[in-house]
Amino acid sequence: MGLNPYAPKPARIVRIRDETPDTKTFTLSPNCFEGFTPGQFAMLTVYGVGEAPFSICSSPLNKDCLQFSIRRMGRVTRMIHEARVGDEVGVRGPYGRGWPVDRMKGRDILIVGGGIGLAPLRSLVLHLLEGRENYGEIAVCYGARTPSLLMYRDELGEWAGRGVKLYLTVDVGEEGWEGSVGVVTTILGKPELDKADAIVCTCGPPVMIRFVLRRLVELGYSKENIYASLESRMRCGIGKCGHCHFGGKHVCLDGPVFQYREMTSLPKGISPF
Amino acid sequence: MLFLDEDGFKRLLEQLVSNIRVIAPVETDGYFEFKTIKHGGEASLDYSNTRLPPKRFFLPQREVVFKHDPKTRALHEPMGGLEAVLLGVRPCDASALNIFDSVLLKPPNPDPFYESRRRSITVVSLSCAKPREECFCNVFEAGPIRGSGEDITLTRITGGFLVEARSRRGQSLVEVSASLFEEAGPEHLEEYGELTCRLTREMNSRIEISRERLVRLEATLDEGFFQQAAQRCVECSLCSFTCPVCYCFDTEDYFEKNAYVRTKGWDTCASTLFTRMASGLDPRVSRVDRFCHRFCHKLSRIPMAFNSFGCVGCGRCVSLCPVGVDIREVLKRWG
Repeated sequence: MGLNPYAPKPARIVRIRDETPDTKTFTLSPNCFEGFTPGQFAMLTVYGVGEAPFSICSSPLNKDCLQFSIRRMGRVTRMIHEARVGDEVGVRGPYGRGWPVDRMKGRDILIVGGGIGLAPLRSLVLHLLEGRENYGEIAVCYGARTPSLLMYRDELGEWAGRGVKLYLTVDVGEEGWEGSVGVVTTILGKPELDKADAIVCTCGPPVMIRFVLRRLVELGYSKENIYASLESRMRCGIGKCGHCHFGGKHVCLDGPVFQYREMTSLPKGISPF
Repeated sequence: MLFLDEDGFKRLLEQLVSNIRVIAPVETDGYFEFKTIKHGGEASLDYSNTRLPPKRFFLPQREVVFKHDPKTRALHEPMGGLEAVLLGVRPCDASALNIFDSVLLKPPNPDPFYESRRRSITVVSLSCAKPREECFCNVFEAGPIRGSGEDITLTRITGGFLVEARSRRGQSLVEVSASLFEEAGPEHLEEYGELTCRLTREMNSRIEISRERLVRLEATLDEGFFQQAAQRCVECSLCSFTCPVCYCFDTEDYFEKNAYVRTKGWDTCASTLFTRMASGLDPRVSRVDRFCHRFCHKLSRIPMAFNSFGCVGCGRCVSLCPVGVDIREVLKRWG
């Protein structure tokens, strides 16, 4: 019998960091992947409870551990949130098609995130920062509903210090918030990039992705260079179970990162248009 | 082509039964079901088709895919598949295995559970003798004489069976009992030719389809038909569970006898739970969309990806649907 693709490998939770009131970042060790592309995902198992897909949010250059930012949502995520340092979970992957890192050399890069959608983009940012000199301008436009729902708040400043232009916004301000207020589309015009050539990567709630794509085209970004990461229910991650099959595409194999034109041919519902 | 007379067939069956697990149609309560037989006489070969397809021998309704003991850290990955001969599969159901092969064995991640079962089961098909009213295998060239996933095709003719080995495994099964077979004579082949013409003529289904039109189904269908059908649908999922081709699965994790267990089992895209995420978001929220998905998957996306249709025309969903949803209507209008 060939390798069993449904059996995860065990890994220990070595660190848990609170990101927002309902989201934690879990650091798992060992890193059982030989390598991965930013934007790829893994299936995480809470033994005896269930399994679900999550974006890898750590850098591919981190060979020791894998990180996942997980929002408390359903049965599996609730149980992960109850886990403690030292607990064992199962990991399999990496799966899917990640961000088009091969197309990014020498170009400006715009990263647009909403809420927990920054998770797969964090992996990309960390990857880009490891070779900062290889790229043009790197801008991150990131929005959340409130300041306390912004992910990776401790790290964002560090990104800015290492050559990332950072634009933050929140839907609703809180006391002490001096940044912009408004949805993320309102700050998309701020970065001054080579729009015809820049690669754009976005992830967030479906409604955000829809309006971001529309605004990006209005601003003059090229459809050829716009990518979004979509989400779907999945059971296998390897194109067999049928759950993420939409209009001839499997989110687990052909995505989760899709190019703008690929998204226009997806059926309504999964398509952000 | 070989000929096996009635007596030779009985002897072959007895030889098989004494050497290997033989699964064949058995009449129970007025239906025919595949069961393991202990002697040749239990098999009934006088049936139109079994109530359920032989899918479960390759994709069990539920199977354990791993067990993990947290104390001993032992990982148990059960092997599928006892060696068996599956006898009397109709060509349509045998053709469904060909579609399983395309999807489930596709690299780089073939399903090892399916693979081991597929390797350990020799499939002997039996050409149809009397197609039912709802049969339309001819539309997809999945019968009524020959299918595309079997190791041996048997066709009943006067005095015995014509035998066609369709794979190496089928060939070796024939070679083991070579003395029972003889070369088919001209009279056998003539009868085979007549039978082929007669059966094809008797098929009720006269639907003409074009692959080129069907692969564009997603773009061309108007939702009127689907709206009507979807309104009647009670989401019982019989269509998926009795379909020889439906392979989509769900997984379930639980703790049992000191071990964490994962099973996988049949699932259905008719259910609203099929695509709904924990957040409550559901990319395929309406029943009409689920209907479109089911038919487009079978008739358009599988042919686009694998060059064979995702329906073999067995007619089970047509005859079993409690509210009369009929895939042939889709074929007639958009095929």
